[in-house]
Amino acid sequence: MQPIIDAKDLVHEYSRRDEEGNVTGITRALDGVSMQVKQGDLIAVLGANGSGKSTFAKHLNALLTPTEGTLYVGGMECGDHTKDLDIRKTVGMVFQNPDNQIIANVVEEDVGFGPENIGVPTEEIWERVADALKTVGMYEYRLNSPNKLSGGQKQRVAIAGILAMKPKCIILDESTAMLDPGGRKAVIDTITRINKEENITVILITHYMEEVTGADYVYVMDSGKVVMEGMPRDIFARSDELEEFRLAVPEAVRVAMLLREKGIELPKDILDAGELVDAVMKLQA
Amino acid sequence: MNMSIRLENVNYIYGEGSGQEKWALKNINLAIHDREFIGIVGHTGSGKSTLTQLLNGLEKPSSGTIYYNDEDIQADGYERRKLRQKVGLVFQYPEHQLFEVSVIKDVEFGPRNLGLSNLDVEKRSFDALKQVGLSDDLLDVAPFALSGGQKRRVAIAGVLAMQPEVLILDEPTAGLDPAGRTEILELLKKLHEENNITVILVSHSMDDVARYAGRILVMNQGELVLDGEPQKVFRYRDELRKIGLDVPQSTNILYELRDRGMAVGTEGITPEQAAECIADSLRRQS
Amino acid sequence: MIRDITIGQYYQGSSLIHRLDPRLKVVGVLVYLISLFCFRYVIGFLVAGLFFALVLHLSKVPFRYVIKGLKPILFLLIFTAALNLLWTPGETIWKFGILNLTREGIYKCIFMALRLILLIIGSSMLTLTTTPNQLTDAMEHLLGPLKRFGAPVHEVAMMMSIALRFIPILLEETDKIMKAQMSRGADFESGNLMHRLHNMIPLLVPLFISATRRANELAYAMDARCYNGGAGRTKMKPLKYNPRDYKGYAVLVLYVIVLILVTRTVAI
Repeated sequence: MQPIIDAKDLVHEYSRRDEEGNVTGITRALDGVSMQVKQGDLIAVLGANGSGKSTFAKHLNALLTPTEGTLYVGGMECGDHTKDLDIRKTVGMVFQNPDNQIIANVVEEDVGFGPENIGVPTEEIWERVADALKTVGMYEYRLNSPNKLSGGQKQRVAIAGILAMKPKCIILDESTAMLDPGGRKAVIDTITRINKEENITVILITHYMEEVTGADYVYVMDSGKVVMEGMPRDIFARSDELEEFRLAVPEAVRVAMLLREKGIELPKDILDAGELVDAVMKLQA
Repeated sequence: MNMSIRLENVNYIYGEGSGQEKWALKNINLAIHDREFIGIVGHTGSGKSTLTQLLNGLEKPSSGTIYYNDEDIQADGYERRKLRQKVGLVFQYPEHQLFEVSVIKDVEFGPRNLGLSNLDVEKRSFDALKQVGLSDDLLDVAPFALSGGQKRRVAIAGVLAMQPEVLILDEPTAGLDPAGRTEILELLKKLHEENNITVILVSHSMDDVARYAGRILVMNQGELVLDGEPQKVFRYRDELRKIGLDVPQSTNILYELRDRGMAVGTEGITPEQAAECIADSLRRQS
Repeated sequence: MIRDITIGQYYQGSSLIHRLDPRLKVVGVLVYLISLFCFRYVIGFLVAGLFFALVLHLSKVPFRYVIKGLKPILFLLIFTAALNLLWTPGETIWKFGILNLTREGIYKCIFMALRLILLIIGSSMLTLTTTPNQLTDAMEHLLGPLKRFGAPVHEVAMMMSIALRFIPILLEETDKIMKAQMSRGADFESGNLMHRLHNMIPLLVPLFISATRRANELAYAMDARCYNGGAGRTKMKPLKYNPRDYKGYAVLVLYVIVLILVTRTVAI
């Protein structure tokens, strides 16, 4: 089957300018990124601030154009702007700041904004809005003003706004970075459920390692390059490398690592607290 | 000199007289002593941000009294501008307040408002930037050209340059990557230990607070529900969970093991301590 | 402080007034505002006031909430009132230097104050009961004929809607930056005008940068959700008149007739 995302040697450069507008230098935000994503997968892209992960995300939504390399989204080539709208219908994007992506003053009107833009008939908009709000668990807030919602709730409204456009893929561009732990968990739970139940591809961009435990595959980016890739448990086992890229393993993985350093024979690929507890109990028995 | 902050029966009500009153703080009694490192934990809307703004006199309690060094800070004639210098407050996303053309000028804003001599202003600002670990070649750079983590350091330096006795920080690590978070928290630790500053860290993260604070205040719906040393506070796992918070992940692992019948101590609150507890227990058995 | 401003704020509800067609409400408010300038006797305010009270009652918006909207213009209100009170020529009641309290002055002062108050609270009823999106829909509709002359009606409507959405966010942000700078010893309250303006720089620069950043991110978010101008766009809530809206227009006409009759016959 054709991959939903197919990026090959993607390069993105932008020029820095001085006050008079003269080019003073060129920054390579993306430097030869290749990635193939299968429809229905949950992919995580990890990276520190400034690693290029957000620049990459904006390409998938045709918000930025690659300087070099090729990028196909749902079989459509990004680059010439003829397919932009179709690409954005296929791949929806949730941004970092919940306040700066909600357009309307009532929750349901905001969720309806996308469908309105792509010309969905009125009756169907109402159905889609209701379905989308129910999916993210925000239906009872449909008449609220977004200003009265918590950060996590706003992000779930933003996800509903994307869902109502019926995309094949949703990108979360650091959408949990500004939330408290409760809000983060609600967003991650919601998006995981959407991935499983609706078979929508999810690309999760983050620097919180706890959030990627459930991912099918993880990419780690640094300085515009993909520097590590693999299953979450394989990535977590390489904590020294992760630290080099300004990331850190979840606490449970760290406890397991410290125990191994003390000579206690635990498996190398422990992923979360549950697995650690099971492994210790097995040792004890 | 011994610094102290005391709150007696402090209440704060939003929108008083509007028919939509909301109690942001309910009957807070609290004493903060010299050179403590305090962590304040609670949900968004638990009242922790309001509390911090009361401490440096930006907001006024609806009732109750706040004492700084035994002086009522809301009394007539009390100089609240001086209080703001002594109790420095770093807001969430402080980099959003930067406005000057260069890093050093921005940091100088605070001390200049204190009416110090040029020499003092420059010296304090220079020292503050050194404390936050910003390299000299960035002094004349525009703040907007810096990375997110650097901007935040500059903003913190802007408050440090006022040379406060108490430094309050509202979610200073929000939005930073793991290494950036550790750097900021280590900076606070250093300020606390080397400069003898009282630090009040407001945070969502139990893990961070557990590692750095010597005393934890847990807020819920405007009330102070728990107050004590981390080890003591984390004994109340069920109570914390009831209000939607939790003990640190490492402590949780120990509790899980004990719930499953392992004879393990549950006093560990950092990964290092948790690993120690587990290793001890396993050693005792073999 | 700054959070108390209610102009342009929506008060959530599902009252009859909330459910009326926004076009009716826009036309209604316009008619109402014009009507306030069409009579010369205080009795007119009784009619206008009663009409306002009726709408307020039906809207179920608390009166206190509406009154809060007057706070920001309190200064203007007192200023005009004082101006009218003390500088209107006529039959003198009390005189002190250039201050001249006259019977006409008292009358005019009450008149202007009532008019200004009804102007503000009357127009705030529109924004309190109509979501900005409905409001812009109505504007777009009512101004629709101008599109033929190439006027960017949809774009302007969208801009208005977004401006309204970001007002509370930017107000909150202003509050926060102000407090942050006050924590660094900034003083926004003392000094002469030039001094104060200069002191505003630490507030205005970050606010401007923040607004620009938000605008930039919002533009991305709108692009990502396939926003492409007004062409080919459908509506989630297309405007359609219901029987109650026709009744609403009838009530509006009735109000105008009663106002004319009363102010023509009773000269108080």
